[in-house]
Amino acid sequence: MAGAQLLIDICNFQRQLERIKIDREIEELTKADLLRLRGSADFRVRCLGRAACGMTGSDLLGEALRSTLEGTRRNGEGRRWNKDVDFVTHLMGAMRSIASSWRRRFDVVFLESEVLVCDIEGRKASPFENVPSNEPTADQWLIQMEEEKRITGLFANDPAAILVLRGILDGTKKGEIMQKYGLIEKQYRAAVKRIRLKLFGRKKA
Amino acid sequence: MGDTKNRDERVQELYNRLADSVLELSDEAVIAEVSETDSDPQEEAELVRIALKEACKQFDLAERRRTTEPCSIRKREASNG
Repeated sequence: MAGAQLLIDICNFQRQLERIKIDREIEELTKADLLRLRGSADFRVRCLGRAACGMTGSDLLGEALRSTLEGTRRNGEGRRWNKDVDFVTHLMGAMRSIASSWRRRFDVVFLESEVLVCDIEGRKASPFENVPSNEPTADQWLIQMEEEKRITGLFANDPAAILVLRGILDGTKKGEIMQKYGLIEKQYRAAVKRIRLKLFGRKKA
Repeated sequence: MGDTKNRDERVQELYNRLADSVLELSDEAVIAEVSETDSDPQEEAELVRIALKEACKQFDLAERRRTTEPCSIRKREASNG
């Protein structure tokens, strides 16, 4: 009995230590780390479209941290932080994995074909139309049917960005895109930066 | 439907790649990029830290609620014999 209690005490102590380490990591995150986390979270949520169900990048980051804190309980729930990777990389990975599980859950629960409803006159409607979007109002057009065309349309006057964009949309790797279109690293990075800034939607007027 | 799915996946791929590309940026590049938008990098960064601390606080509150629930107290008492 005393042995069992000792084990519980050791587990609790380890958990407290992990928690202290996480609190310290949050305190010590640099400005660049924090901005990286925010940027990545925002794009990850955008990737979800309607599957985000109104969640924001901040919600996703909060969920990644909550899951990490849950992981300190060592009860098989949450995501354990493997200290071989730094805290930022861990949170980035957690966000990636949480976002894809949100999408899977949304796809399973809300397959459109299964939730079409008919009104009394037999007109079919999808409850999807009422699902709140995570996008800010000014960006709502991005989630419409022609999203891909609209995105590429944003870069009509930027040939390098269009090439990179098409390559990424086709799932082509960075090296292949550079080789295919004769771009050097600097040109590729600059084009990705322009894409990020334009799609982030907060560029100064 | 197939085309829509394919288009969704392509756009998803784009946003995922952009999310990953942020990780590859140098500290200076991340800060400079935020400076090019309407935001003050320092202010934005602190908002993220506040959000993280708030998530910790919410987790602690939920944890406290969980451990002070009557059923969890009963369970603890039972396991302590």
